[in-house]
Amino acid sequence: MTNLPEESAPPPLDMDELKRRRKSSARVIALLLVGLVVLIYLITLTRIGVPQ
Amino acid sequence: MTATVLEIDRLPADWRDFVALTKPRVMSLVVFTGLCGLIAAQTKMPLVLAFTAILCIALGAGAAGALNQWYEADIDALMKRTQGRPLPAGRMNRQSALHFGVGLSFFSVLLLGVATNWLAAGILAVSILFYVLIYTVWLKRRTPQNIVIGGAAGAFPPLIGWAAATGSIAPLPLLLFLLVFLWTPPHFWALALFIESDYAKAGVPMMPVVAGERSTRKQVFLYTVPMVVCAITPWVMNLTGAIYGFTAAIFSALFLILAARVAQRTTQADDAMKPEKALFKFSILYLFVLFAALAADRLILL
Repeated sequence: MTNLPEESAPPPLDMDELKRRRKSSARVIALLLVGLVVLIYLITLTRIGVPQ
Repeated sequence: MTATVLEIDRLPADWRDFVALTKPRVMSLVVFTGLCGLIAAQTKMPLVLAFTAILCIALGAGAAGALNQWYEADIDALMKRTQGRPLPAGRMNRQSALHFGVGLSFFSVLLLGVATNWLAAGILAVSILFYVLIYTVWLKRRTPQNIVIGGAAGAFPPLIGWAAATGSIAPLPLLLFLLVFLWTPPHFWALALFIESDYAKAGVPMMPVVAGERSTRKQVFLYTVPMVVCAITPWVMNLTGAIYGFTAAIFSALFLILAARVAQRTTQADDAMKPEKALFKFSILYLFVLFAALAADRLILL
């Protein structure tokens, strides 16, 4: 009995790592969104400029 | 050790893991063949639309890769080569991978349709569905012919590039499709010959595991012959210029020699499998060089 491992609560989250990941993900998502908006704007301009 | 793993599991996946989910190394060949297909079409396509078409091909391939990893997380965990991927390594949960793959699939197809035309978008959708449903879900775990038929999924990009530029399909992109399709078996079986034990451990019926090594070596050569014919046909049919023609002839001859060396060998004890590794590496170079020559042919003519 004494050799059985004690049940313990899951270890606390590494808050620094969590913050770091959230920050870096937010930066990447923001960059992707800006890129997407620019791309859609350029596609729209190009498509309108092409005679049908 | 366990505590560390649990801790990582509870954290949200890093954006780098989502990038890894798209199999960036496979994507490079897909993007390159797609770009060359687009250049080969020789149309005056606006740069923004050409860029968008290539981006969509890359995103579509990434989406297919993510869905493939979502479905194969169990066997990926058994193979040394794939154990470090985000899902088997526990850095991401399966649901995130599924959502990411499905979302990226819809996004790439819709963007391609809006930016270029719906024929190209349709072919992109078919290629994603083919890779995920036909290859990953249906064939991979059932038959040693998995990569023969599944290879078609990787052969779509030049066709998509051409369709995005022209809105139609012609003999040249179909030949390019056939070239990549026939290139896939010798390329993958050369790899499977020197990592055979890894596939066997995961229960994937790759040709060397099911049909044996001798049969695989023979089939490597048997697929190389029609592949070489297919590589030279565009030149013979006058669909390409001399740059492509000479490059295809020289590199195809080298491919044939390397494949013949593999076909004639039997594995010895403690074999370093050098000819098989050489064929695998050369096969990647072969496709890059042939498509580069095709693009060079077109760009010089312009």
